[in-house]
Amino acid sequence: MQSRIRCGLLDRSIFRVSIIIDKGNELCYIVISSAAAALDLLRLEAKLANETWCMSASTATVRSSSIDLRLGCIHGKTFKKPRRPYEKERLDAELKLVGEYGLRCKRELWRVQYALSRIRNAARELLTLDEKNPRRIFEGEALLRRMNRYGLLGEGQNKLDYVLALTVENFLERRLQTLVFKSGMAKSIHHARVLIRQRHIRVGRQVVNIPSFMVRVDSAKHIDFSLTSPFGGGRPGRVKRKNQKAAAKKAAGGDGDEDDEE
Amino acid sequence: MTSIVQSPNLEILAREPEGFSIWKGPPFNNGQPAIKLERVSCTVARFSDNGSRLMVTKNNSVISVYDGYSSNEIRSFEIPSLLGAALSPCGTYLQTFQKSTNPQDKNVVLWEIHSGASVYQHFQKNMTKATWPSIQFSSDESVACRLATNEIQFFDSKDFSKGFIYKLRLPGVAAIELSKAPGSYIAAFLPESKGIPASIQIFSSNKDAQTQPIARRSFFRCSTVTMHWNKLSSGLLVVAQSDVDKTNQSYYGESKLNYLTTDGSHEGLVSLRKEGPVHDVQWSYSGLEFAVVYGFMPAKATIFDKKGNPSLELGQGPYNTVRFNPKGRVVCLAGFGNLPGDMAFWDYKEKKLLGTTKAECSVTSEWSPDGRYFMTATTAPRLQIDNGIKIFHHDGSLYFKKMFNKLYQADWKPETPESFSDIDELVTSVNTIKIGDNEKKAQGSKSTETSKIPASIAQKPAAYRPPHAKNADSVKAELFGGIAPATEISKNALRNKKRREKQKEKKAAESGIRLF
Repeated sequence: MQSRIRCGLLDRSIFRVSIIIDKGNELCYIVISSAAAALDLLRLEAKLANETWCMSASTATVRSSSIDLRLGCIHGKTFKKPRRPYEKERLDAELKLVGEYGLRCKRELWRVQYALSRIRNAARELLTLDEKNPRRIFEGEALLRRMNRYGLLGEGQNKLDYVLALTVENFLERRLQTLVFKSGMAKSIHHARVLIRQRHIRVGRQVVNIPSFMVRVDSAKHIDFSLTSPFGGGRPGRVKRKNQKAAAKKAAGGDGDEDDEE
Repeated sequence: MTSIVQSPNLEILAREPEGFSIWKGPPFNNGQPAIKLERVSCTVARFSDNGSRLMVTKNNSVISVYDGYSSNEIRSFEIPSLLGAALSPCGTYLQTFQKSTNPQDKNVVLWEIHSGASVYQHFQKNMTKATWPSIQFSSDESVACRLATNEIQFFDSKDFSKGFIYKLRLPGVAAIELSKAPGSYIAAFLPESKGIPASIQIFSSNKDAQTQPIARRSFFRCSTVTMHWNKLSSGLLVVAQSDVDKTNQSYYGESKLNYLTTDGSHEGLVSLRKEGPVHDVQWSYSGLEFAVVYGFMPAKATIFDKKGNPSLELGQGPYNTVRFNPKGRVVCLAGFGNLPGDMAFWDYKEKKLLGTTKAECSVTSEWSPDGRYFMTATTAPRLQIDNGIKIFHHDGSLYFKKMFNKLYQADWKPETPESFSDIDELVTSVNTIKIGDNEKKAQGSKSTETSKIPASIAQKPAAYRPPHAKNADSVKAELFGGIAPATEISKNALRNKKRREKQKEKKAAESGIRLF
């Protein structure tokens, strides 16, 4: 049955609305996030199999919903500095990873380590719960689905214990920079970073400018040169066009043009 | 009343130091092949692609062209300082390359065999494996083209005297591959130059549709390329090889497999699940699927459908070659060259292993055109001893073996697979596999022994469990009273346990027997 949710109550403009439905507990989580240029009113149609929803136009929610209204002030830390600053083995290991994956600074590595540690903590905490706990099932499945989707866990590894065995290298392998290099589209890992930053690479139809973009498993096939890039069939770049114009002028014109070039 | 269509006979060409001879193919009466053509001395002998003509280079710069069916000499050409020769696919034309001294001397000549006259000649400085034959034909000879510097020239294949009728300008093109059947597309490879990546572009062979490439794929890190068109000209497989491995995993360089379709549905890398070089890639004879053998040894073999999705995994093993059966149900995975020669025959429609066997030191391998026999040959410049021919049935059982003192070449005479009927034994044998699996295993004890060995090689080694992990389990058992470990034994651990117990029993039984 089709339902409509009209969200006009909030004072911020809405960019994206995600609806997560937990049928067992009859909970509906609606997460609304904002962005600078967005739509004013978003009318969503949520298709539900066997549920009936009654909405009132003025209220923007379903019962037991939680909306994240802290739009615009969500701003947390993404990395953690190491406890001991001058530990030789840690410095060597980090430098090796930075060099192997072409990272810009240690912070990029610490960012990945922090993300990994948060995921491991979540998995560890879920493992202490009872096996049949609905929260463990729901969140465990969601966590494993995300790990599978991003290619961090293989096909047969669908238990929370495998999440605890993840390493930083698994995450670093899924960055767009390493995948562009590994697929043969760049001469070296640093060349890959340059190509990405200079907008030559697209994933699917979207040009991606971010070297740390985590590539999903089903998007990994669609990494290619972008259509407007000179490598992917577009017109030549600015410098080449300028040189071609100068060469054409020199071939056609006379001595007056030579002063211009110098 | 149905008329019985006579399917053509199979023939085998075997070339030795003294010359070549043609045998009347399998099935052999009395276990020995009947000789169709007695030994004729020669240096090169090759059939045309459809088997209608046979070109023989004799050692005094004479090329003879024989008729494929009657083995009679049709025409002979006298060509001094000959370096190479090739027949066109239907056997209408013969290209020859002569050594030339000055650019005025046109040293690549195209002869028409029927009349014996030369129809076209041009100058080519030197000949490499990638650029010979200079003039490429499609399978039905409707399209003919040639790679010249910075352009591709197309000819009218009925009338070469006009010269080239149109050309496609591609600055920097290094290699081309015309699609064979039908000849409607041409793939061009432009290598990497200053900052621009190497690229493969597919164009149409029509003059009017040649402004834009139909498909293109660019990549870096590539020095040579091999291109494989499929039978319907709908897909192109490109193996891009480089001499230096920038990922520092191999001394021998790296190779990547790209797949381009002419309808634009797929333009990119084929996702291979194991790292390592691509050893072999082959299209099936129907053109709807392809098989790839890839990865560091033991290599993985997978069959992909025409969308580039994997349809069947054939496991891991010491393989580096794959050969599709022309009648299209069986595929042979083999490890020739520097590998010991294991061969596995799979039925990929039914997803069953038909048989495994070994053919040591083979150099070439080929299915017969009717798909019933598989011939492997050990030939001379590569291996100087143990030269010979072995012919196997489609399920791996040895049918015929003959050793030679020195053998240079052993080929089937090419025929179209459609002119042969389907393999009845294959259909019935697959049915018996389904019904009577156990009795077939009992009969072929040797084949099961050999099939067990590749299986055990392919099996992953059991995971390493450090000592403290074992202690943790036992500690847990003490804490929880011994309930926990009983419930949580993984499948591998259970299997290992069963196997250990069985071995213990066997040893106890043996020692018991010895006592007596």
